[in-house]
Amino acid sequence: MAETMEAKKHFYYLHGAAPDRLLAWWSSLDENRGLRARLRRVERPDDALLTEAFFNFLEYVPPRWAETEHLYASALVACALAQVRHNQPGRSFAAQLGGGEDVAVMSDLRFRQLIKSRTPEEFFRRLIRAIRMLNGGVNILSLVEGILRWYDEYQTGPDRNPVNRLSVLWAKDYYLPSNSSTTSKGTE
Amino acid sequence: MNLLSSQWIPAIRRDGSQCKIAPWQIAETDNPVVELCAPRADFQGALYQFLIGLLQTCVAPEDIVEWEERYVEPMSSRYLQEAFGAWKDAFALDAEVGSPAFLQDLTLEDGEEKGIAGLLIDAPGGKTLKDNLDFFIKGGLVNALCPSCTALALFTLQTNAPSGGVGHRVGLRGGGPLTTLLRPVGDSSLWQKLWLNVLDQEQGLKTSAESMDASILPWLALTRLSDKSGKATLPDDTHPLQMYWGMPRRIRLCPASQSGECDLCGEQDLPLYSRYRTRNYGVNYEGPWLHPLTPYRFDLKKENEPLSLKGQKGGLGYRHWLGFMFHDDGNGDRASIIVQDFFNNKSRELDSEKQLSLWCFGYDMDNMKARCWYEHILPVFHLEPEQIVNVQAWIQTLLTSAKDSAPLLRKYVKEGWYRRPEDATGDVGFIDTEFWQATENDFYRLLGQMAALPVGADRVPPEIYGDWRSVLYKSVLELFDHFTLQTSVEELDLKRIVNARDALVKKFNSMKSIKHLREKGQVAKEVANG
Ligand SMILES: [Zn+2]
Repeated sequence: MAETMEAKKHFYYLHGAAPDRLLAWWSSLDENRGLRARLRRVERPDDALLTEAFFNFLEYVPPRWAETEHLYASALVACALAQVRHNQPGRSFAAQLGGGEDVAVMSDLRFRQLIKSRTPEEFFRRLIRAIRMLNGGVNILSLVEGILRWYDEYQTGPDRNPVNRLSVLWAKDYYLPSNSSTTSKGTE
Repeated sequence: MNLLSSQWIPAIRRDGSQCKIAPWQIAETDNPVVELCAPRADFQGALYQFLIGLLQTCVAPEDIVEWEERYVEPMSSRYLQEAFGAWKDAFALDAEVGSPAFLQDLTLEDGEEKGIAGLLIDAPGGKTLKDNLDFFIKGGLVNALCPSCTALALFTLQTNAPSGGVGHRVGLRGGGPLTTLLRPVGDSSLWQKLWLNVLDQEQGLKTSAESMDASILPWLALTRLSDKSGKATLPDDTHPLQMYWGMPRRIRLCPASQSGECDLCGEQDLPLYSRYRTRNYGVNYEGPWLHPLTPYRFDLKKENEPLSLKGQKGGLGYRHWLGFMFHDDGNGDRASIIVQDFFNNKSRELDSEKQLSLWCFGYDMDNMKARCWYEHILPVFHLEPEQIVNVQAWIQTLLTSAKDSAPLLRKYVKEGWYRRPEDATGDVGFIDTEFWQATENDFYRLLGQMAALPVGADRVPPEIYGDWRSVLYKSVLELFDHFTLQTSVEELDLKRIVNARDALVKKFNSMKSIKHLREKGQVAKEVANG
């Protein structure tokens, strides 16, 4: 059927991380308010690299996440997740920002800035603002997937197939109504 | 030079050596000629038609049996030499005014004198040069041509003549007609490449016994003028074989003067033609001509005369397959007589293991100016008459859905590109071209599957329809992404693009022809699940 041709069930790669381990770490922050507070205070992801909270995070993800080239992306994820109050699976992160048929949670202008971010610092700042706009209610796995993809593109350049680029994936979810056949259904 | 006895035709023999041959040498069997090698693509097409016309006029087989015998074993070159020799007087390249000269006005003495480059269809006028559209002649002008190139230029012009200003008439098939010639795939002799395109005499092109006269070769008599006191020339006014020898332009070559290097082929030490004279109001072909080598578009309402198909923007592709092989009921296109005759008569005489193709070529003319030269090879499938009706209908279904998809893609790419797509005027035909190219292989793959069905099969496996639907869907989306998302994210209006993309998918799925494919494809699943 046409409708299912593109909107196949979403699969998260997460650079090898197990979804339930990521979620478990995020839940554990509830019992470790100090760690969470530390991560929420950082101005740049670098600030998190030497914290106990971050070392703790690395225990929940595959070894690859602790390698030098990956550390910054790992810190981005940890710091972003520390901002999330509730996990809201279902719609993808970008769709949550778009607000579906209702008024967008994040304005078009801010959204375009977000996807056009040029440096990790810029991306980080705008991402944190986006999570706050959602009042901390975020599709965690979709968020993590987006962060990792953004960082991959930052390091190795955008995918040759433009549809696989994060900006395009997010734009589809942000701009199109959730029942559209071309958005990625944010499922788990 | 005499076109029937001189060795002037550039050709390649089986061992790869290049040579110049006289027409009768196409039948030589020792190290036979396998291909022609004219210096320009349009000359190559013309040279094929010249030789086919010659065979058709002088030695057409009596019936299909003789045709087949000759296909397997050519007539002897000696016989051919004699047969062509009988027509020799009409094929001198130049002669005193008043004596016949090939494709030239018998008595033209005065008239506008022009440089020889004027015979070339693309000859760049001031504007063409400026626009850098002189793609046939690369750098520099043509001032002098050898006899071989002159003969080819003359034939090419008379065959394809576009309108050339007041009273300068267009060719018998209109300006820049398409030609479709059958060709064996793989190794074959030139003889076979030509003979495949010769009709037997039962197909209506009988040569009268007294042979050579002006009803076939119009330059043997005074030109039928088409000025105020003249008249148009209709099929009933001449012998049907004149279709191969149409002469819409009144031209007379000025005698070759110096000798030297030809500006087109580079041959040295040959007499060179540098000027010709011309006048308007030559033969004005009108009426329902049907040239055997050209597909025509028939008026679906049967009110107007058929029009020869022309090269057109976007080129040639599989969307023409149905119209060039059989008939396309969507637009009235109908295969040339030579192709019809192939499926009606020749096909069953030939070894069906030997693959054939259809070589299609012609100019894309913009009035007097050649915009482009197109060539394309279409695959030919051996089909029994009872198969043809079915394959025809099946292909029509595939084609209709593809023809609906191309403009849809174009529309939404424009919507992705422009804030106000309806005001954007640039030429975006290349979007269609890409679409046709992207889907071509799959079309022929499915066509091959249909052609391979048993002769009695009156249904195709429904999967074919589903398959084609997926091909179209995938291609439309991939090309949309390719065209709209290529640049960096800073330069894109992603809101506009993803909305256009979404609308494209919705429109695609709601098109009648696509729904039709889906319904036909669905039967497959029900039967399988059943
Ligand atoms: Zn030459």
